[in-house]
Amino acid sequence: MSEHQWVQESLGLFLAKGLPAGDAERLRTHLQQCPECAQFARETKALERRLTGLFASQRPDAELADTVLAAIPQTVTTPKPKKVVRQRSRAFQVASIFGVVVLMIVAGSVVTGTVLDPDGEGLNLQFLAATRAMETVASAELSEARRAKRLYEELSQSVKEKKQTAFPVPNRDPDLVDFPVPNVDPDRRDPDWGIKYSIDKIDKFSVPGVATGPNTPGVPSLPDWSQPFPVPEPVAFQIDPAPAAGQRKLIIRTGTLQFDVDSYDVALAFVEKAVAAVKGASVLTKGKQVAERSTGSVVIRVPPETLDDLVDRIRRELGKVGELKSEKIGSEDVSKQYTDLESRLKAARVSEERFLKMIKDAKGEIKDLVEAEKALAGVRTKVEEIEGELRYYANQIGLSTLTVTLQERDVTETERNTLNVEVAELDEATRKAHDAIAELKGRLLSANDGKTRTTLRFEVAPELAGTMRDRLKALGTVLLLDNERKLAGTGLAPLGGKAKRGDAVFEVTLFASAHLPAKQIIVMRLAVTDVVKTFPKIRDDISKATTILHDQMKQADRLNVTGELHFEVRRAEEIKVLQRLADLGEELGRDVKSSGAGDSATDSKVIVQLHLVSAALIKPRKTYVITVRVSDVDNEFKRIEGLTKSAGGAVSKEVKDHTDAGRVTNSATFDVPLAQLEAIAEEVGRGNDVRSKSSTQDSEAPEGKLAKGRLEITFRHDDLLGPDRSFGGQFGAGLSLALQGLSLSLRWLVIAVVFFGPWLLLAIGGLWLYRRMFPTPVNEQAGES
Amino acid sequence: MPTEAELSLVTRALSGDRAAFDALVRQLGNLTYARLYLETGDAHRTEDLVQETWLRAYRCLAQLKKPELLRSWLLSIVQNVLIDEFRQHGRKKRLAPPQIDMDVLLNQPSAGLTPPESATRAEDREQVLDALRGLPEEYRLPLTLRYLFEADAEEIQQQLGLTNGSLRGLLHRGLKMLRARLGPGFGE
Repeated sequence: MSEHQWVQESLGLFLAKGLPAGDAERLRTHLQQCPECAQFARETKALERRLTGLFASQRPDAELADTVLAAIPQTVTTPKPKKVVRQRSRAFQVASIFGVVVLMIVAGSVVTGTVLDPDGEGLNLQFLAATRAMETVASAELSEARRAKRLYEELSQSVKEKKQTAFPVPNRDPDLVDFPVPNVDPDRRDPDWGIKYSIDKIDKFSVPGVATGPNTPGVPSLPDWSQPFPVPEPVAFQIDPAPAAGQRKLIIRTGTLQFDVDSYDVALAFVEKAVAAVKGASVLTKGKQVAERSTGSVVIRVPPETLDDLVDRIRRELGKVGELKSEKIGSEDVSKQYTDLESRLKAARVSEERFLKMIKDAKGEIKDLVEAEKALAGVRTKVEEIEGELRYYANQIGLSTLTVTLQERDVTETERNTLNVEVAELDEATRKAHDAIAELKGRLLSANDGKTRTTLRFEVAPELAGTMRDRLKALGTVLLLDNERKLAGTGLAPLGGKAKRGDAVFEVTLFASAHLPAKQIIVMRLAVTDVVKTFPKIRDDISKATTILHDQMKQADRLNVTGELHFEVRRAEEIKVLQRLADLGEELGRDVKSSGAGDSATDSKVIVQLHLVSAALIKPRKTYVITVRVSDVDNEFKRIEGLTKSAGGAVSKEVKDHTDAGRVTNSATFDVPLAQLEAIAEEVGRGNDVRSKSSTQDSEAPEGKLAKGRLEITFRHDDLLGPDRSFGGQFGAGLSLALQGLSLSLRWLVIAVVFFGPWLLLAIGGLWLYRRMFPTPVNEQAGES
Repeated sequence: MPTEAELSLVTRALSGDRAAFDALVRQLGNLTYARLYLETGDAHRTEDLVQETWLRAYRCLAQLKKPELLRSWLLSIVQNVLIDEFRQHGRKKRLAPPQIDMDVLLNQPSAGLTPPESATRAEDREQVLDALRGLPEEYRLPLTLRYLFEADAEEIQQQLGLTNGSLRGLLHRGLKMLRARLGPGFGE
């Protein structure tokens, strides 16, 4: 930067007394040396002075600030902008209230904690205390539960022990470890386990009430009753060391088994075999009542500890040849009776000895001796009675009684045959049936001869039932054959088929073929060109070969004629007849359905229900909808009509319409044979202005020789005969012109906007940009000079 | 950037110290006057508008969030006052021919100015003001302050809150542009 430039640039600041002292000195020095710059400085100073002078009068009054301040209100605080009270939403208000409430609660709890407990741990302490209290309660509950559980375990243990006492399983043997249910809860165990167990392992245990010692196996030795009665040592009957001494258990065990068997003798042999296998068991009595069904019972004495084993064996053996009907194993505690008897025996012995001594000593008078002798005899009798009773009890206790009742079963099998036979000649067939019954020595139970059917009920020997069935089948066509075997009598199904066969019962119904309803109905729908003529012809034709059940012809109008013809035809001729019918016209459909007559219906003939409908009612297979514009509506219509008629079709509908303005339309429907449809449809279009053409195909409509096609043609003649002078026409024309103008101008507008719009926008944007970039075009060069 | 003393004044005024606000009015009164006069070209109207400006400033003092933006805030108030003024009186004020100031006429006989002379001065003033208005924004106020108040550099810096050495360039280029706009013969 040259010194001149610097001086010129700094001049403004210098004149405003803003240049630092050093710089000002430098500038002044330069101005003194440089006349050019001095000249510039003078000019500038002059300009400034002039400008300052210009505005001198425009300066504000010195009091302006005071005036301004006086106008501002003397308020101490700065007026704040007016606070806008915003309308809070209801949710916000509710939330606020809730928040405040929660805050209050928290504050309250804090205050409570700190005020009541100044060391500041009140809250925590309270909480801790509450927690501990809860824990205490919980642990108390826990120990309660544990106690209850222990109690329960103890109880179930004692129950288990009791069970072991009740069943003869005093302690677990080492070789019982593989017993199938060792780990199962005692309460859930199979209720029979004890029994099975005792049966299988019977030898290992003593039986309560009988054994002389807890572990003494085998049969107890019976006291010798011929000797002065030895009072059994209490310990001899004691099985459980726990009960107090003197308590004995004397138990009589008895059992009853009842079986249904095929043969008494076979069953008895099995029973004896089972008895022989059990140690100490013996057959006491066996009885048999010989009859058609033999029955009998076997009484077995067996040591009580092997009773269960024996029962098990018998059940197993007899299971092969018979069936268990009932089983009863009972036990009776006779300890009390036994003890009473013993006491009485002891007392009687004492008095007996006293009398004996009295007699031996022979003191007193004869009379007294005689009295004593008499009394002694009475006492002795009593002693013997008691001894006998004791002996009986001992016997019963020592050996259990098992009674096995065997009963032969009685089962008869009867056969029941139901036969429905269709016969051509009822009388002859009935006679043949009677012959057969007589021949096979049957017993006729009932016979019912009718005109249409014969019902016979008879019995024949079972071995002849098959022959009888074959004879009956030969009579005609079997409609139903039902063979039912039934078992009757006591006992269940025979084992090995050994049931007696009773006489076979036959229930035979013979139907006359002619009077049986047909099983099948064939419904046939047939379209013919002329029902009125065809119907009587068909009727006469088929009446020769078949039976006509129903015939009816209905004529609702000229086109809508229907015929209804029901007849029966033999199976053999069915196809032929139906074919002939089908040839007469167009078959629209054929249904085969059941007549619903059930078992007594015959299949040798069918019922045909023929519905005759007019071919005019057949729906068109294909339909053309055509609109044509023609110069002469009537002529064109006549031309198509002629074509239709020559093709064998007809005009089914014609609607002609002349408007005021002379417009003519003719909507006509032509029905033509399907084969000719395309050709005529083609012809319609020839030489004419076809405005629309559409076709629909109806696949449900028949397609055969009577198939139809349809042409729905609208002939139009659009040209007006004269100008339209009606108000509507005039108005319409005016409106149309106006709208056309509007549309045209709109089109122009759109074109204009699309053509020029973007360029216009671009131009405006460019101008705006230009203005922005060059806001004040200042002539810099002019300033430089 | 405003000085420390000024910032503390603004802070005090914001906190409600009326004396501080008064001090601000006295300090920056000339700035608002210069800005308003530049646009109106009429001393009386400018005085009215200065009053209006400070009244508004006082009312919405709380809206001044940042004390260091005091000047731009104040100038935006001035701008609003001007807009309202022009809207109220239409466009005539700015475009109206300068009226002959009777006060000046009557109160300055000592200058020996005859009425036609005064009219010429008013025309010249308007010409200068027009030239000033045409300057880029940052040059307008320094020059206006310089010639309207015959302010020296220190005063201008104080009014505009300028603390750096930008005034030298502003004065030089502003004067250069102004001279170009006024034409070569104006100074004579």
